[in-house]
Amino acid sequence: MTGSWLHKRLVVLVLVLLVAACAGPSVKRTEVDETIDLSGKWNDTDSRLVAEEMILDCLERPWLERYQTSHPGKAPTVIVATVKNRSHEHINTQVFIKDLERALINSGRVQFVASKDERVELREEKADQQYGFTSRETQKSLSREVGADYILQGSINTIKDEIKGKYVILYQVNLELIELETHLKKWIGQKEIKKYVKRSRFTF
Amino acid sequence: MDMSGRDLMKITIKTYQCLNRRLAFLVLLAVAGLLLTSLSGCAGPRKVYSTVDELNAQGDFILARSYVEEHAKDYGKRNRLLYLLDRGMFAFSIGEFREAIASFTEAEELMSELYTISLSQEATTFVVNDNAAPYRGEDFESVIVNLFLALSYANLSEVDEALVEARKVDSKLTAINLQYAENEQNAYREDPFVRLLMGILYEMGQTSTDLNDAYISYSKALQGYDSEYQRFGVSFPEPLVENLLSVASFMGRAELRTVQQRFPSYRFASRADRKEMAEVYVLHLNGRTPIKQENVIVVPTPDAQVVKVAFPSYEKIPGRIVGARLHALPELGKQQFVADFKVGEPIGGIAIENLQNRRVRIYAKTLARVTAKYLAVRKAQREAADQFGGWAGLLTKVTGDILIFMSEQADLRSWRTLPEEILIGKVTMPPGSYQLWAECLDASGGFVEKVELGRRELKAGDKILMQFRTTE
Repeated sequence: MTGSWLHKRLVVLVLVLLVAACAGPSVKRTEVDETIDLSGKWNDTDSRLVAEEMILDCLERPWLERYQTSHPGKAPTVIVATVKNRSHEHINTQVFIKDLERALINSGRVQFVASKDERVELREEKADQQYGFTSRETQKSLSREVGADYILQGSINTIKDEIKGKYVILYQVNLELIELETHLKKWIGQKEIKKYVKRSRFTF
Repeated sequence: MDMSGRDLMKITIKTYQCLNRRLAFLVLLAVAGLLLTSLSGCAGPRKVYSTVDELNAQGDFILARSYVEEHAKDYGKRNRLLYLLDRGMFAFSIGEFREAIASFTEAEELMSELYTISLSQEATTFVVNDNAAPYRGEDFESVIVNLFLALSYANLSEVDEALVEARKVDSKLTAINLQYAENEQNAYREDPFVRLLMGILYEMGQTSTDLNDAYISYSKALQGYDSEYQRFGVSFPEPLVENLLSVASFMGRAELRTVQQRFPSYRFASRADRKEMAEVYVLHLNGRTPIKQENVIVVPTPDAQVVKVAFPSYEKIPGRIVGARLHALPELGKQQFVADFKVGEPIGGIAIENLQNRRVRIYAKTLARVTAKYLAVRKAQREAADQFGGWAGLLTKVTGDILIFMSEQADLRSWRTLPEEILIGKVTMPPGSYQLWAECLDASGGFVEKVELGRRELKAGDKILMQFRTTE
């Protein structure tokens, strides 16, 4: 009686273990803005939050008001240039640049021009329109691009303090808004994120 | 928490002594079961390595990479790290840098994950042998992974990514250094060659911050060669002094004065002059790193029997090539640029020393395990004899002794596709088109083989990193 009961329990246990072992990857849809930290490395949430906070700070500074005073009714034109990765991680800075562009354009207070790479493609397209295949009414002229007033550039830096199994990492994002005509720096922004990542030494 | 060998032995023996009668049998069964698992795991890499070693020795890296990929499963789950390291090394050797990056990146992540020790797996190493645990890699291997990652990115002209690896090396070496007391000798706490390479990469970055980082890297490299690598008979390579002086002159008078105190009459090119020239750094990955061999000793027991105890030790693989000379012939003009290679990284020496440093710990653990197995078998023998008679006791003893004999295997795993040493050569030339090659030399300076490095178009300010490999 006891043996049979034990036997059944064992069979159930083995089946449960087998099912668990055979289970494939589980996939769950999450909100894009949900914070999920897995490895402790720079991730999409860091990129988005830093971009939003820094652009908010940038647009609240005096340079914008001064520009609007000297150019009534005109929004300054900004170009987002390079953000150099000077960190301990392979960070795709293009994601961060796109987050910056999104935060800038959504503010509605500045306009910005296409990036260097994008402009190459756009010029090729416009050049193609000049060959006579495109109707004159819809053809775009070559010399009506808007020149940027300001260039936004920066870097992602890290300071890592590491001992085996744990580390503290400080991400420091520096952005600078420079007036293209004069090369005067109109705004310098800095945002820091600090993370403590620990890996346990033992597990069962 | 670090236990001494004596503590380890006491705890293991005590645990075994606490086992009750039934458990004594169960231990024997567990040993048998785990032995089967262990042996199946050990056979994998050993089987793979007979072919991998042969192809590596022949320098047939293309076939070696295919073979490793086809036999990925034969490495076994516990040796996934070795598979990734071997695959990365062969991919790197044939210039498949994207593939090398993928393998080495996964290897680096796995090393980080394996920092967390599974207690259940670790317990198995006390019952069966050290092969029962996953291979975690040595400290120097974890740094060399980043070196090859940096070189792979540099070969793809992705300097920013190469610099990320350089920063990781800085951080890792600092963490490794912190493990040792300041007066602790013969420990892998600094890697001057990696620092030198990182300095060259930082210089490629061109910004003042990069040059500052380059100065720090070169300075640490020089300190490392002076204090750490003397014991391997390796002194600083020439390019280190040239570059350090040049970057120090950019940093300021105080920095330059500090370096010139050490090298008062050394002539060097300023940063401005170097911008007018092209620099080619060539790494020669020479030979095959030593591989671990099993040393078996037979220890007599109190009941006049013997037990087998197995330890790993390194065996060097002698190579014919010991040096090389770099040649650069311009397309226009006849003046040939020549530079001798010099050893920068004694990988074989580091590996041997690393194992020697852990020798006492390995010995203590092995002896504790063998003693514990021996006591368990004798206890099981007594219990079997008491319950089922003398023959059962004898049968248990014979089975147990065979299991001890078979299960005691030294952990011979290591990243064995590494070179024995890395040499570095540098030529500085005016811009132009150059044919590059290296002449490999034997111990008496005799010519062994010529390695073509191809034609390169060099612009002013170019800094090119390239490499070749010989296993003869």
